[in-house]
Amino acid sequence: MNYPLKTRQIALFFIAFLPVVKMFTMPKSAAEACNEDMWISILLCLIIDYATILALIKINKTHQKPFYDILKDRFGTITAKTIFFVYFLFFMIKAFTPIFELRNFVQNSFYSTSLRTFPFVPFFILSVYFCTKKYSVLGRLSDLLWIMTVLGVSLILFLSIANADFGAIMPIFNNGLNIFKGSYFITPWFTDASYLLFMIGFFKHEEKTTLKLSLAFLAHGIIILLFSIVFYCSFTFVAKREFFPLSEIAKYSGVINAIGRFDYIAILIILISNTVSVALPLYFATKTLSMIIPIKNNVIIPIIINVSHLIIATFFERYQQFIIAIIHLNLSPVMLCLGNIAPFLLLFIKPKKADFTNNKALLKRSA
Amino acid sequence: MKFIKAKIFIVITFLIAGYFFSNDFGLIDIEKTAIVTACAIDKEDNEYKVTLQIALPSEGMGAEQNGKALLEGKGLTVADAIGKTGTVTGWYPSLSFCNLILVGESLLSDDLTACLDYFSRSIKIQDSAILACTENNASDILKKTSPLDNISGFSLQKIILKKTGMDGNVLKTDLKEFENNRFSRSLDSYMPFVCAVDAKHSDNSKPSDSGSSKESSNSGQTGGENEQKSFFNASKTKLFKKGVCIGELNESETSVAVLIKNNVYDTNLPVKNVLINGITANYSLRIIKSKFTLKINTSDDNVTVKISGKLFVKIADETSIDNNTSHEPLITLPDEVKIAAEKALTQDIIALTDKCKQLKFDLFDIDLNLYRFHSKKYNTKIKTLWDNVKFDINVSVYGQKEYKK
Repeated sequence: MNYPLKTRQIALFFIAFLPVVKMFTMPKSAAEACNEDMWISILLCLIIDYATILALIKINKTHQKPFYDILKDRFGTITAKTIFFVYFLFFMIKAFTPIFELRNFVQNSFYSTSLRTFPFVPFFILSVYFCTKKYSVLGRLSDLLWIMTVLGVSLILFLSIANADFGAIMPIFNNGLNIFKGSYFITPWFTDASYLLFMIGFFKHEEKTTLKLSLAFLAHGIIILLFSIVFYCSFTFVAKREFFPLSEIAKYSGVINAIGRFDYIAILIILISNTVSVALPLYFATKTLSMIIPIKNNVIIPIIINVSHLIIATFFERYQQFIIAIIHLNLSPVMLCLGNIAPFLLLFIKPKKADFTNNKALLKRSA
Repeated sequence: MKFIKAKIFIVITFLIAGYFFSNDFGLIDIEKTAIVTACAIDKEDNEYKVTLQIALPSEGMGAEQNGKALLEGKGLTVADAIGKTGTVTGWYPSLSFCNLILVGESLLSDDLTACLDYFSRSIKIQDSAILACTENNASDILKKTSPLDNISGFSLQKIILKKTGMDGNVLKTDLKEFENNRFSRSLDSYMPFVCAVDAKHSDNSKPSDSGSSKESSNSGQTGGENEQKSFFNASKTKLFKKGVCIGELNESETSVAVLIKNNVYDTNLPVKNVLINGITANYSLRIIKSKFTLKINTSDDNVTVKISGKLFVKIADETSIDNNTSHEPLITLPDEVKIAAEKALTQDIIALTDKCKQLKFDLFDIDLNLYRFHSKKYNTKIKTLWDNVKFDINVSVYGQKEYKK
């Protein structure tokens, strides 16, 4: 049977797309909640995500079916579609913060004299195109872009690590319950296992699948932890007001002072991966809505989804902080339930006798 | 159908490309933009007065006019005052290249955060801009001309930002560092205090090297021989608590503070009145390498701060008259000089720590270190920190060992 995704591609997907989206306001938000213990908050979220990913690998091994088919076989089409609608809303909400962040970053870093949303429109056009693509394209993108992420982040960290005062993360566990508050607030940036939830059944479980995905997730965790720690150790008491750490942490390097802002090369490299990364929730929102409303023309749903986000980004700009506050303060438990707890429930669904002859057709339809 | 799709795709591609590339990408129009190189802030009549020194893009303009290109604006806030400079001149002030922010004496009695917050929060100015306070009005300093450079902002930067390691007499800080210290646990921060020193202007005083020579000669032609020029001195340091100035470090205290806080090298260390073999002489030691460490001990009732310093030096110069016929090289460091240097440094450090205790100013990040590495005792120790703190100073000066028979 031909699977649209390979284990290697999912592993590279973790490295290419999961860290970059967390390099904007996530570290600052964690620092705001629990100061020097911010990395523990991040670590907590990573551990929860990793546990969910392990559960999903197990589910993939036992069911060998896409998420939709598992639900349909056990609960029927209506329940499956209802659950998919809930996940559609989940991805639509998950898309808000990264889109706002990327737009603000592009506006403030590259278009500082013309703060308009329109220069950001091409992102949505690209996103529409990306959303029409199958899982195999996502796999190929992971194959290509992981190196961009690794190169960009390595250069940024190399330039900034010398100026970081690593004593700044001491003392450990001094912020008590605020550590959990931090994790609560930053949850919407994580819940990345939800992506894997929609990939189950589309990749074959092999002997080393668990090891490969675990190592890739570990690499992603190290990248984001190291970046966050270096960020906090570079800014310490003013970290809370640094909205764009990506463009800030490397600029104090002696090399940058002597040569100029060549760290922007690394930033641009990271932004290539980040464009796909930001579009990922919209991509998965498209996949879920396509299963609910099967339309032959595969462009209509991506247009609906992207245009709705474009309208919000353009016309509801002044509600940006309000929307982000609602998502991170009120909807975090919902995001945690759908992104991390709900996948665990699938462990309790026993697989029906595998109908592998039918699986090929299912995969083609779902992808 | 496929053909129509391809057509639509091509049209959309051209539309996007046309839209995207017809934009100026937010580039600034140089004719309408004032490139700010330095900024001075003062307070007058309860309003902020901002003076911006700008680099004029006009090619034909003389260096003297360029040096005097200052824009002034007054406003209720710093942002307002900067905006007013644009309103008056029609130039949009671009702060991206502003490397120097000067704060006038009129602002030192208030919390400086009120006026510096605009710069530290705005991404339009780099937070690595050097920060200094001045005697009297900061704008007066920018208005002065210097033999070092026609643009006073640039000559000030030369004084404050010397070659790495050679900045032994200026305790420099930048916007980010100042704000970081301001919001640290101790809320203590510092910045250099700049004074203008009148220079008797003559053509001979002009530096003849590097890129400044052309500008200086231009300055001489346009400014005239009798023009009052100034040098700048930044070897004193103002100390701030919660953003309000509470005291000052003098020149020797500043030098010692620099030595402890930064690892300096290639800097002179003068040693006075050393008696060797009945001859009294002054020595100048060249610091090759220096390393100071601070250790905090909280085992007893007091907080003991152990300041240990190691300086590797060689003799750069001495004033003893050599009566011998041979001209011996200055390789070894006599024990008398070593002891005198250690004693002098220790005394200077004691004077510095006494001032810190007197002002309750945490120059050595004792508060922060207590919090980070003695967090269990932090709450009890911090309340009486400045009553119970003890400094244990140990400075060792090393040089080439002298062989004595």
